[in-house]
Amino acid sequence: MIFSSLVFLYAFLPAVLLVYFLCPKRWRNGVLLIFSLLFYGWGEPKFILLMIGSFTAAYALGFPIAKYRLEKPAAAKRWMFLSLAISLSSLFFFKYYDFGARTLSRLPFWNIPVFGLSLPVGISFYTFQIMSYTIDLWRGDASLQRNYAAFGTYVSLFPQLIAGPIVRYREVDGQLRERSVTVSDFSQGVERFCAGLAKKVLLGDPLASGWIYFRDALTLSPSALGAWASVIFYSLHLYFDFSGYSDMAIGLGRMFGFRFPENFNYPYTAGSVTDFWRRWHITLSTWFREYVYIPLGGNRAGKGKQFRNLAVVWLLTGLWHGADWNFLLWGMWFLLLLSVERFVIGVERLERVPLPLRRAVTLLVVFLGFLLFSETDLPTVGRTFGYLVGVDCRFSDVLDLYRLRVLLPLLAVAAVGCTPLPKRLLTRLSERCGGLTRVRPVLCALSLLFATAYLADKAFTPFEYFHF
Amino acid sequence: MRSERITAILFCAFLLCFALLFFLFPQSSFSLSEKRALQTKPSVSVSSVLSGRFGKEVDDWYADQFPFREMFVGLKGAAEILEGKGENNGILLGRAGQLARVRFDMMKEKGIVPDADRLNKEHLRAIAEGVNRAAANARVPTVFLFTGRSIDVAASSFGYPSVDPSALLREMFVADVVSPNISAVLRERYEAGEAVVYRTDHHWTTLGAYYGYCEAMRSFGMEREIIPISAFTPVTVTERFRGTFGAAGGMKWVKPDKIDVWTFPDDGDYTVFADGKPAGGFYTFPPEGDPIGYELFLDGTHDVVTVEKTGEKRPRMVIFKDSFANSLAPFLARHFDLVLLNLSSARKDYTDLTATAEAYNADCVLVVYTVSNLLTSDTAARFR
Repeated sequence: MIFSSLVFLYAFLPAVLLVYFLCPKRWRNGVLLIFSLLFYGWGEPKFILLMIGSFTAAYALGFPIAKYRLEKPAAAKRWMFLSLAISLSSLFFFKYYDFGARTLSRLPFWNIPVFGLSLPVGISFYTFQIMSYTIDLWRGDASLQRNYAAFGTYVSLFPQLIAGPIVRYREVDGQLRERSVTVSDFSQGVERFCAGLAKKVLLGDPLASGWIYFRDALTLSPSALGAWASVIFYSLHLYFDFSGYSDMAIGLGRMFGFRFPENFNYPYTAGSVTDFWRRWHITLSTWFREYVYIPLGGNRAGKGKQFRNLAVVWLLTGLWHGADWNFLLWGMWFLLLLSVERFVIGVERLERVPLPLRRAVTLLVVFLGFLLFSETDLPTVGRTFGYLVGVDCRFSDVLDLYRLRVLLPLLAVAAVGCTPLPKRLLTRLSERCGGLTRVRPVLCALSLLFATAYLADKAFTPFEYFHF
Repeated sequence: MRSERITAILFCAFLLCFALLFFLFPQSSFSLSEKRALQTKPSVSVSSVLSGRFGKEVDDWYADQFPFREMFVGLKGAAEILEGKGENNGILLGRAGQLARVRFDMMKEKGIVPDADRLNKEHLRAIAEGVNRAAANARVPTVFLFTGRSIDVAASSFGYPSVDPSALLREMFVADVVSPNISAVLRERYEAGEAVVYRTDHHWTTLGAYYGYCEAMRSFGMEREIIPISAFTPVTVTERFRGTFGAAGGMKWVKPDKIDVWTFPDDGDYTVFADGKPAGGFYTFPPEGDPIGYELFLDGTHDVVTVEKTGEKRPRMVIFKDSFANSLAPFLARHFDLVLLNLSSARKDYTDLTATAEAYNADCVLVVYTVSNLLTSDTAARFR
């Protein structure tokens, strides 16, 4: 199930809200767990067992880790590695086995069977959450969760189950044990959810249509303008789609008394690639920094090791997004950019470049990176890169210009929408005329109304972050 | 605090209200405006739940039976137009409420390119090769009437940079191919203010079909036998026709079309059989209360339709066709016994025009196929 569907909005959500708030507090984790499993199993019930198995193993192995952590650190470490191995084994099998088998089978004398496995929804997200519990527990950053329902709720909590934000265990440890929801919390959650829904359905999906249009047009009559348009529409779509979904998740969490970490902070206004990754999919970057980069040594111990650590993180980041060469190359593209910024240009020199120029260059390289991200077929990626610089195509055609003209209002709204300007404007107006706060419920209702209209028209695209 | 409370209450009320209305509203199994079966309440079984089919069916059930669905679709259509797109779901809104589809699932060597508005030159070449091949093989007079898309005929109503594919195709046809330029004829009439295509549907009107009839007759060298317009009596059978563009575009404010049938004194002398069963004449009216649509002509879609005049033996014309021929047939039936074969049939492949025409003892052959169908299928590329 996805948030941007009629069945979620008008069946699942009212039902879970009703049952949750009618139940005594001590049952609420159980209610969320049951509804989350229903949410997860909606399209692919067979994978519920896999998820339950994964979190049950981590839950059970948490006890010896907590028990031996202080007295027998080596034993605790062994239990931790066992828990991580179990978590990672299902991720590796379902996500990477076929890719590995296909790749190795290309070598002489290797013939490994390919199973054609379908990827369990959200496996990368919940595996990382489980691992964060195990590691936090071993490090002593979190306490043992004895309540099975509470732990199951942490892993399977439907607002963030299939597309994040990736919540580290210690961030919600206390909230799993005790939380309350005020009218203010609930209403802020509603506002955030409606904003996310509007971003996803009213901007993200139409931008996706624009991208698909230009991408497909390249196969019939390629043009440089069409190639640039496809790159820009895709990049904007990805932001509104994913950040909209994150907003919905954060908003839903708030309605149920959880405070999830932020996942985006206007990434397309970043002044460098390093800055971009502080603003894009923040919870994933944080996870890798905390559980991979820093344990490997981080920025310490010389440039050589720093580069190695960076390379490991970006190799894993690429692979996390998908088991295909394009994702790997996408990770390497960012490794290259970040290395150039860090080791060749240097932070100080970079900051001397005027901000508008830095932003323009950052947008350009990030958007070009997303071209790699959007297409698994590498020859197609290569051809599209060629079209961007006018190889084997004309500059534009009359249909490109027509389509760009009619999509210009959408593009303009999207371009402004990915900057802090709308939020600043609303805050400033609210400060000047206090009555504006009354408009907020109306804005929520309008978002819901129009999103419903777009969903009723079936003008939505499957959520892309599903398969990561 | 007050506005926070209002936000929370409004949100919950909105959700609960529609959640309840979904179950309270009467549900239907068929959408007349979309002409398709709707998903009804799915049945639960262990296997359907475990396979995920149940979840998918519930999703479809909600999407199909959602309360005020048509109103929401209209709201979305209005939002898209107000946003300056000028179109919704690939349906363009032109002057005076003229609608036209501009995006099609274009055929390509490997599969299709969905929702595209570009022409695939290779596919056009393949179509031309098929037509050239069929024309060269033909043993009886054969005419290809490739009816234009609304966007080509009503181009003057839109600021859309349309390229008429039939013009490109004609350049690729060899001299043997007899293919009147019906798009140009209809475009000229449209620009003169005549309603030759529906505003809310992809078909030609009865007047448009009449011009198609005139062009076909001229192409067969029978110009003198064309029955003048004045010999027919137009009868308006509905003024509330909302066709395929109207349904897909969601532009509820566009005025519906009227459908005319042109009657002729000897209409009662013709027998029409659709897939072997009597169809009751040129026009089949739906049950009282149901909207009248283009299916009125020759009882809608059938694989084989025959039209004969009682007690008279006449030359036989085999028409390889899509639905455009249904409103054309009543005109041609004044001169020929007709066998209409559906080129889009899922059961039978009629693309071997020569062999099929021989099997039906054709005296002449007419191919009536829309340009949009040419572009979105490989039917013509397989002509022999």
